[in-house]
Amino acid sequence: MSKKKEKISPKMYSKIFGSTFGHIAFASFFIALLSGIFLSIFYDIKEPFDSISMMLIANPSASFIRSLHYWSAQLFMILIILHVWDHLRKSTEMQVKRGVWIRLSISILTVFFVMLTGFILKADADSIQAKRILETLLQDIPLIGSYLSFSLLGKGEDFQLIYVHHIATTTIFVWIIIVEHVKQIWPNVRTLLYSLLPIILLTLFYPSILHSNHEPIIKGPWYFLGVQELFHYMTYPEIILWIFIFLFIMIVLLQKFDDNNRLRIKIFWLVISIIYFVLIIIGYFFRGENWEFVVPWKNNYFINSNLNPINNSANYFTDFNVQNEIPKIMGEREGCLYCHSDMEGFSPSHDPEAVGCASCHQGNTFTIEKSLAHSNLIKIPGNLETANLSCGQSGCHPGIKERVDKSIMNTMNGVISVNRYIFGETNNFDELHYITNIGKSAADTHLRNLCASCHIGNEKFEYGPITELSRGGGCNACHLNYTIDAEKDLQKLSTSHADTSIIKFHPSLDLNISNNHCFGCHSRSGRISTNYEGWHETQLKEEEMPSDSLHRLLEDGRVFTFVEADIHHQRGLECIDCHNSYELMGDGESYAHQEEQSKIMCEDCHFTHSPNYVNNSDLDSESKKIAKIRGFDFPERKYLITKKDSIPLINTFIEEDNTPYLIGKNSKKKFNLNPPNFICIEGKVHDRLTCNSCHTAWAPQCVGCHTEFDPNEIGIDHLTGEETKGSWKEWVGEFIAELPTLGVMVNSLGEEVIETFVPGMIMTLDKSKFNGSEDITIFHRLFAPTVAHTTSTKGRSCKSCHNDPLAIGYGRGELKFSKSGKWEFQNKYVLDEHDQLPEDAWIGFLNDIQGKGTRTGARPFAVEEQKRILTVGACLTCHDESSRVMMETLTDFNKSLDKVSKKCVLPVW
Amino acid sequence: MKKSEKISRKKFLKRITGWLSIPIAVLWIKGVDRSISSSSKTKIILPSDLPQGISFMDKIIINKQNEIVKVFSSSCTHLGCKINSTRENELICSCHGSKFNYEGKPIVGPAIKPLKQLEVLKSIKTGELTVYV
Repeated sequence: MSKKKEKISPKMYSKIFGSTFGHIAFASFFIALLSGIFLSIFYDIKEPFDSISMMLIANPSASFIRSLHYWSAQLFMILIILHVWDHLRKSTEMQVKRGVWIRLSISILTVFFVMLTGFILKADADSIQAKRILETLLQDIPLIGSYLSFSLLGKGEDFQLIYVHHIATTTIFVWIIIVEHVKQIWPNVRTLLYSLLPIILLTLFYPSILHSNHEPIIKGPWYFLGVQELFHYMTYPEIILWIFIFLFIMIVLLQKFDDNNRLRIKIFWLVISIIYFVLIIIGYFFRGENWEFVVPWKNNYFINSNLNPINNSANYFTDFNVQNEIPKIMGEREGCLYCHSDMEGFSPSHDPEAVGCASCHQGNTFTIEKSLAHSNLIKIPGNLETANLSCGQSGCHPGIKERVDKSIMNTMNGVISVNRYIFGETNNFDELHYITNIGKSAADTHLRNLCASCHIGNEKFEYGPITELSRGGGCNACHLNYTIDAEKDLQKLSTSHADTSIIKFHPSLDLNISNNHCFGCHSRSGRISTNYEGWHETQLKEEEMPSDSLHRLLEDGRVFTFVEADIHHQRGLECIDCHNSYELMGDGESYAHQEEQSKIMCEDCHFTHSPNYVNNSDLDSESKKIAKIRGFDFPERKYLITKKDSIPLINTFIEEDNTPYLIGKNSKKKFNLNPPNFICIEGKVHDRLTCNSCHTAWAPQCVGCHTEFDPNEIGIDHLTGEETKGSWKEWVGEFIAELPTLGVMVNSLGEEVIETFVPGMIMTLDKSKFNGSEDITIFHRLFAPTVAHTTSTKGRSCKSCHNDPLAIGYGRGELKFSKSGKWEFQNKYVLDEHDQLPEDAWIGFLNDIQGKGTRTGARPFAVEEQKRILTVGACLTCHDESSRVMMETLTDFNKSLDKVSKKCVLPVW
Repeated sequence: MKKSEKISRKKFLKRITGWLSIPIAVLWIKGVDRSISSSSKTKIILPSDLPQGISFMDKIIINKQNEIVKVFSSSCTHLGCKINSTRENELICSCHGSKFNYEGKPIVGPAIKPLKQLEVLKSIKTGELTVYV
């Protein structure tokens, strides 16, 4: 052991305004002690969380004392650490007796314990989890672990013992040690006043907040975030405990080492402390929900923390006059309802008496002061950017935000891939993308200018219902509904300088998803929303529109003409009656194309076999919940399931005699689910045909498209909302509503099927004027698979496929079968200079010149397939499609060929 | 006669304290043992209309798959945090990020032990499902 060193004068210690760290720590301790005594007047050990909530909401004095207590305690701990370091730096450890040194060492542990118990006594979610962790750690100490845990923390979620240790045991011990160490019972008045100043300033500008128990992010006190970060990596957390005990013992035994080893230990502690400080920074700023890494500006914990300047306005001086009880929601006080108590218009599941306001809107629930209450408010909940703090919280709709994130309506995978293919930026249709991550290439700029607003993650910035002009909005896109009263209130708001207190009718978030919710985006591109209702887009301008019931003007100025509505629409079915939650919100998987994410198929409802069903008791929780809300949850019910992925169709039921039926989700109308006609299932020759290929009455098609970049056009980047100098523009030659072309594709079950296709796109693309592009014009002849949503009860005729050049892929024109057995085709549209095929064709007449499909494996009919189709077409030139001869061909066409009469002329190739 | 050995008052008090610490420790251990053993487990009755999939309830996590009901303690096997969130078919501990599948098996650390599965008792008379935790 080394010799005792010369006593160091107090003058040699670091000082602030003439006081050492130790003296300021003592003063801070004293302020914490006094403020703690006052705080105990307002603190209720039976309802700790509630009593703190009420201090924050309705008792400014108590709130001030609490903040004073908090900051004095924090300052005490920080200064104790600095004081210890000051001592170690000056090597004063050799100047105290061994017993004193051990007591001082233990008192450091006690300081941390008193701090931690203070944190636990908040009794919010952070505190309760901290208590559980401490319990587990203490129990890991051999032999005495469980006794220590029980004796220090008590049992269960009872805070009494912790309270006693906080206010008495540990506080008294620390005070005794301080008195022994400082040789003073009270701190100097001057030091006390100096210390009070920063504590009061911190109290005023950084009031101590309280985390809601519904906060999804769980973090311990800031000084233990380094430990929390270490625990994240440690499978065996007791290692940390043992390392800590080892480090502590090194300090306790410090006097036993010689000068050199003491120095090494101190340097080691210093390095550990610096690393630990870095870990605290990581834990505080870079860890979010479920301890996942997140950048600080997207970290919701930081947004709601003590140190965020937005939270830093105190309400100590507001003259509260709380006349009514502050309502409790899910066990917590919610100040919002003090002012917004008489709101109406909510769906039952979102009744504020059940879920409050903050579940959706965040804000500060522990105040009734407007500006404070509205800090960090989410004005329009439901946008995907903030969905984890509102709709997607673990206590509300967990996991859905992540599903929607990956869903094709949000990623726009197919749109991005096909678009890049067209621009020559990829050869792969099946890449996975994310619309908000696209770049500024020619293809991506084209999407930014013309298409990128139609994704569900597009943020809704303004109040108001979902209209034809709406794009995205996250959960709102489907679930937001305004009543007339709510719309009237909204109008009032626009003229009353944002005084939200005048609002009495809140829009509803519910399952009343109408066709109008889908219409904004789905009246574009494939136009399935307009198709479904029978409307076909024209090139008429608003002023050219005839004023009759056969024409319709959309809010965006496009003029549509009536063709024929889908039979399901005619009968009264809405989009939501067929499509289910796992399609619309995604199922958690990423898909390259829309049809891969879709689950529903015609044969799920129209079948001849015995029904595939699930019993009510076996419904998954999501289907069960939806069935319950929609009034379809009956214990004895059986529900149809989809062929693909066995998704329950919660509005389809099976009678006792196995007859299936469907109930409109919104209309509650009953619909019989009829089996397919015998012609659909007769024989095997049409096995590969999808229902869609025969029952699609028409599909919107365009011919002669051209896309070009205009460097002088002022455009919009729909991802950022910013104006752009230069924009992509599109021209269309002609819009046509006709039967679609047929072709082959591999469906999402991996089967090769005959499906409907439309030109998508036969076009020239001029990249010459785009920034830095070479002088290049690209030509494409691409057909896209479509489900037009124009189903008719009666399928298309046999001739409309076998004798129709557009159906086979040759384009419009005259297809004639001569008496000599020759098929001849006269095209209507001119041949394109790029590939010598007619402008509207997918494939050359009985030759291999062909365009491509916009899916891997999608193709027009091969020459051999064309010949088979046209052979039947030859028969149909004489035989009626419902004749016995043609019916026989459905079973075995080759056998029918054996029976041809001498009059029959078969094609000659 | 041998002269009796004199000890200082400080030494005497130290010895007395040392000796007293033994019965105090025994009293402490006995008392805590008694208190711990008298703390009864909490009885939780599962709702009759349990949905399929995962439900969180007080201190337990229920996984119903068709007719099979499995109940796990919601206490994370890493450091005892209460698990009350699920995402993408995983149970997630919000404290340190451990992830478990719906069978309670750990799939992402730091936890490596499975969640404690609790015995589900079924009443013969009423069919009511009960667990003790």
